[in-house]
Amino acid sequence: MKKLINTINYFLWIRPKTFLIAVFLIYLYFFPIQQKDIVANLYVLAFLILLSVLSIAILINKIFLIENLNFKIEHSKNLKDFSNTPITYSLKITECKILPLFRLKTFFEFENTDFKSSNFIVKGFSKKEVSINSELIFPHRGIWNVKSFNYELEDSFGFFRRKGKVVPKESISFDIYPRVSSAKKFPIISSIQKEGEAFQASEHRKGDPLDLKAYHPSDGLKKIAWKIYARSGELISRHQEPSMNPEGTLAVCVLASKQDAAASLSLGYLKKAIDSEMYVLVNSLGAPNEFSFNVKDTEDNLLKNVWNSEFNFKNIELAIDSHITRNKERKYDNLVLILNDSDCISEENVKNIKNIVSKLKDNQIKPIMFLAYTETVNKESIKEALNTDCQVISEVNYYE
Amino acid sequence: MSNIREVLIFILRVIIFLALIKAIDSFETIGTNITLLFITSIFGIWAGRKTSETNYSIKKVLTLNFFLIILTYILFWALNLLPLSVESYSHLKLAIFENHLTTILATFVICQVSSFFYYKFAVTTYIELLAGTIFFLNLLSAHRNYRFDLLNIVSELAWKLGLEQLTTIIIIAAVFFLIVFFYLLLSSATERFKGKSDKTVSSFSPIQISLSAIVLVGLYALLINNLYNYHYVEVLSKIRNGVNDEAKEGVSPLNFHSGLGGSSQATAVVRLEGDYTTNPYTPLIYFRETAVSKLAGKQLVIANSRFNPDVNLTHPESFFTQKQDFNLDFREPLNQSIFILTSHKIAFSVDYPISIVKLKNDKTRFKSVYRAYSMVPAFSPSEMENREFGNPNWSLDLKEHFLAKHPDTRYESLAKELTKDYDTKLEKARAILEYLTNKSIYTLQPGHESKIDDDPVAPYLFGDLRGYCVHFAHAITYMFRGLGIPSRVATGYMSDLSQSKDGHILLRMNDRHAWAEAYIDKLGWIVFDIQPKQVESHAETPVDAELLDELIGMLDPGEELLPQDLGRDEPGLSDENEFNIKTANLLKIILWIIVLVLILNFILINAYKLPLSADKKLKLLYSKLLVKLQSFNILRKEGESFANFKIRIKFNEKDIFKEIEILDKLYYSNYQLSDKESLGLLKDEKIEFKGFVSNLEEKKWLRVLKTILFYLNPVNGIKVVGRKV
Repeated sequence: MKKLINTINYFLWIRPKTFLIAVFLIYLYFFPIQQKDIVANLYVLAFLILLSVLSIAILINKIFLIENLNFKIEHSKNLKDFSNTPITYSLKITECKILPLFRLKTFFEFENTDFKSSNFIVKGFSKKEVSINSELIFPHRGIWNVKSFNYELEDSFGFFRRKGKVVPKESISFDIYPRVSSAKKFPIISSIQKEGEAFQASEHRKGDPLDLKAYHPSDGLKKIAWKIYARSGELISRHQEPSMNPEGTLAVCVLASKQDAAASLSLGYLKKAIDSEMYVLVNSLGAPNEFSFNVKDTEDNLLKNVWNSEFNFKNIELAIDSHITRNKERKYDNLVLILNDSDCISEENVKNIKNIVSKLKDNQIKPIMFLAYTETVNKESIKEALNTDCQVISEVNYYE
Repeated sequence: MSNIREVLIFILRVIIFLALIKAIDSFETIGTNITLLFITSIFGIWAGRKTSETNYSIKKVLTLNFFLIILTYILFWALNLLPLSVESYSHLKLAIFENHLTTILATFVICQVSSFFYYKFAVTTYIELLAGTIFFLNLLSAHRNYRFDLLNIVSELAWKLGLEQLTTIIIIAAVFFLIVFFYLLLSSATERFKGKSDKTVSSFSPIQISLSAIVLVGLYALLINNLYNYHYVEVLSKIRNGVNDEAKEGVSPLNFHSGLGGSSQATAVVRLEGDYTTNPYTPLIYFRETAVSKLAGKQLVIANSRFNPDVNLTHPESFFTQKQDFNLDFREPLNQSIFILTSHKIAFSVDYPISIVKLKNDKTRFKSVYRAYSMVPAFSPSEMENREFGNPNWSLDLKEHFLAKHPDTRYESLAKELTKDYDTKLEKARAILEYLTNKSIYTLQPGHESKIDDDPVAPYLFGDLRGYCVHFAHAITYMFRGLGIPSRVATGYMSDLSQSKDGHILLRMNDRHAWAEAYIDKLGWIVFDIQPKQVESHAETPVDAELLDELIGMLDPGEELLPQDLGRDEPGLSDENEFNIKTANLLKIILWIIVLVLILNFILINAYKLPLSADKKLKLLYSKLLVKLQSFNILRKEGESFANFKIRIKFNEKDIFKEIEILDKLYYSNYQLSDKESLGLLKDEKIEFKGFVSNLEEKKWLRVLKTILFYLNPVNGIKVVGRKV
C-alpha cells in the first residue's frame, strides 16, 4: 500500500493549485472566450503556453539533466562538535543542471530521527560544483548519520514539482558531543556511606567532595567525626586533603534521555570524581551492560546509545538492574543516578523513579539522585513530587 | 524589507492596488480624492506587511479592524450630536466628510487585511489571482463580441495613445498577464514570509538568463501577434460593417456573417482641397478602396490588377501614379488630403485616383497622411440617359470578366422578372435598385446559417431579404450581370457630405461600406447603391462634431497635438466642487495624520513611563525592546526556540543576550519580580537600552531613520502594549 502511495506521489508532479488554475482556464475557455473576450483569450493562451512550457521543461530537466545529481557534505572533524551549538559545514552539489525558471529545493535528513537540515534553493545550469556553506544546530548528542538528500525540482511559480531522493554513496555522519558541564554544586559523597547515615544538605556542606572515610589510627583523634560515631558507633575521620590512593568506588547510572542536560552534567561530574582519584563505574540509559570507567568511554557510550535512550520504566530498570548485579559481585560505595528534571515532570515517570528507588533500597543501596535542572521546570516542585527518602540534588546545568 | 525581491513584491502589490483603484474610479467615479486613496492603499499594504510580522492571529487582526470601523462610526455619531450651524451646511459637510473618510478607511482595511493574509499564507496568492482575474475580466467584459465602443477606457486609451481599439485592448490584456506573471513569480519566493530564510544559491550566467528571457519574450510576442491577427480579420469585418481591407488577389475583403460591432471610432479625416459641387451622388460621397469583380465559384473576389486599373491597391505609405483616362467625359480633378487614424492596408480616394503621394507625418496622432489626386465624376444624373453600359474598347476577356454570371440562375431569373416591363438597361438597373430599396431590411446581424462553400447572398435575396451593404452590393451585381450590365462590387467608405465641416469629412468605422458599380460608356464606373427603407439595426450615428473640430485643429502644420490639460479652464468641465477634498488640502491632511500617528505611537511605545506598577513598567520596557529589535530586523525565526534565538543573536549579532534572557524568564517561568527588583532592573535597563540601540546600527543616519520609522509605524505601538508578558 505504501509502495502504491509512493508510486502515485512520484507521478503527482502537478500540484493541486495548478489543477485549480486549469479548471479556471477551462471555465474561461467555455464562457468568456466563446463570447470573444480578447483579454480572457490572451490570458488563457498565455497561461496554457506557460504551463505547457513548464511541464515539458520539468520532465526534460528531471529525466535528462539531473539524473547524475550528487551531494556531498564537508565539515571539519578535527574539532569537537557540540549539541545546541551552530556547526558549520559545506554542502556540495555536483551535476546540478537546473533550467532557468526552475529551482532545486533540497535538504538532508538523518537516520533514527525527524531532524532535517534547513532548505537550500539551488538555481543555475552549470557543470561546476555548487557549494553552499551553512550551519546546523543539533538538538542533542549522538552520531548523526545522513540518511538521504531529498530534493524537489520545481518551477519558480510553484506549478509543477518532481521529488527525488539521493542516498549518499559513502556514509556521512556528524559526531555531536554533549558539552561538559561546569556546574558549581556537586554532591559530596562519602566514600563509605552506610545506610542510616545522616546527610547534611549539600548546599550547606563545605570542604572537599570526599571528606569522610573509615578511621585509621594514623589519622589522629582530632579527625574523628564524633557526631557520626555518636549516632552509628562507627569511627569516621575527616580528611581535608584528597587521598593519594582511591578509596572508594563510585557507581554512576546516567539516566540521560535525548535531552543533553543530564549527559553533560554526568561528564562534568565524572571528570571531577576521577580528578579526585575515585574509581568510577558508569553505565547509561539504552546500554545497561556497557560499563565505562573514564570520561572518554562514557562520552562515547552516551553518543552511541542516544537513539535507544528512551526514558521509560523498562530502560531505567535494565540500567539499574545491571548496577544491582554489579553491587552483588563487588560492592561499591555510592550509586549516583543522574537524570534530567524535565524527565521527572510526568506522573508516570515520577512513579517509575520512585519504584526504582524502592527497588534499590530493597537491595540495600541508597542512591543519590542528581537532577540536571534545565530552567524550564521548577526544581522545588520536582523535588516534592519525587519525595523519596534518598538525597535529591538539583543543579542548574547549562552551557555557559 | 531586507532584499530586492521583497521590495519588488511590495512594489508590485502597490501597483496592483493602485491600478485597481484607478480602474474602479474610471468605471464608477469614487468621488474621494484619488491621490489620497493611493496613499492610503500604500499605507494599508505596509501596515498589512508589518502586522504579518507579529504573532497576531487572524481573529485579532479582523477584530482590530472591526473596532477601527466601529470607532469611526461612533466618532461621527457623536459629532452629529453637536449643535452645528444650519446656515453653513455644517451637517452636510460633516456627512460628506464622513463618506470620504469611510471610503478611505475601507481602502485601508481592504489593503491591510488582504496584505496581512498575503504575507501570512501562501494560498492567498492563488485566491487573489483568481479573484483579481475574475474582477478584471468582468470590468472589461463590455468589450466582448468586439463591442469596443461600449468600453470607455479602451476608447480613451486608444485615443490617447493613437492606437486602434483592438491593439489597445490587446495591450491591456498583455500588460495584465505580465502583472499576473510577475506576481506569481515573485510571490512563489519564500522571502515574503516572516522568518523563512531558505538559503538560495544561483549560478545562472547572464547569458543563460538573457537567452531564457529572449525565448519567453519571443513566445509572448508570437502569441500576441497571432492573437492580434486572429482577431484582426474578424474584428475589422465586424467593426467595419463587414467591409475589410484585404488587398490580396483571389480573396474577398467582405464578410457576410455579421457587421454587428460597427463602432463610431474615428478612422480618418479627409480634407477636400476645393469644392466638389458637381458630385453626382450629393449629398453622399464614396471613397473607393478595393473592388471585387472576379467570380470565383459562388463569390466575388479581388481580380488581377489589369481588370481594374482604376483601383490602385496602394498602401497609404506608398507612392502610386497612373495616366489619366481620356476616354471618360465629365471628369474633373479633385485633390484630397487624407489623414489616417487607424491602420489601413489600402489607400482610399474618390473614384478614380491618378496619383497618391505620402505626406509628412510626425506620427504622434496619425498613422499615415497622404494626398490623392483623383479625376472625380462630374456629371448630372441626366447624363446617364441614352448611354451604353460597358466600354466598346474593352477586350473580350474584360467584357467576360465583368459580365460573368453567377452559377445560380435564380439571380438572372429574378432580374429578368423584375425588369420585364422596362426597355433600357438603365431603367432595368433602376428597377432592381427600387425593388431592393423597398423590400430589403437593413440589419447588421442577418443571422443566415450558411456553410463555407455556400453562396452567402442567396439566403438574403431569396430568403428573408435581411442584410447589410455587402449583401445588397452583391445582389445588385449578380442581377446586373444577369441582365448583361458589366458590374462589380466596390468597397471603401461612404460618408454624408452634409456632416462635413469646411470640406473636412470625418470617416468612422461604421462608414465602411460596400456598393455596386456598373460601367457606363464615357462615364466610367458609376455607383449603384441602395438605402433600404426598412431598417432593423443600424450603426449609423451622427458625426462627433467636437471631435472633428479637434482633429481639424491638428491638421494645420505647427499646431500642437491635443494638449493634456485641455479643458482645464473650461467652465462646467471640471467636477470639482467645494465639498471635495482638494489636492491643496491633501498635504495638510496627510501631515495631520502623520502627527497624530506619531503622538499616539510615542505614548504607546513609551507606556512604561506612565505611573504603573514596577513589574508592569519593566515588562512594557522589554516589549519595547523586542519590538525595537524587530524594527531593526532582528527577528526570531519561525519555529526557533528562544534558546536558539539567543545563541544565534549572540553568535551573529551584537551581544544582547542579557535582555533576551530576562524576557525569556518572564515568558517561560513563574519568575515573579518584586517591586524592588523591577525598579532596580528598570533603572539598569534604561541605561543599557540606550547603549544597545546605538550598537544596532553603525551608521548614525540609518539609525536615526530607522528610529523615526519605528515611531511612525502605528503597529509598533499596538505591539508594545498588546504583547502578553
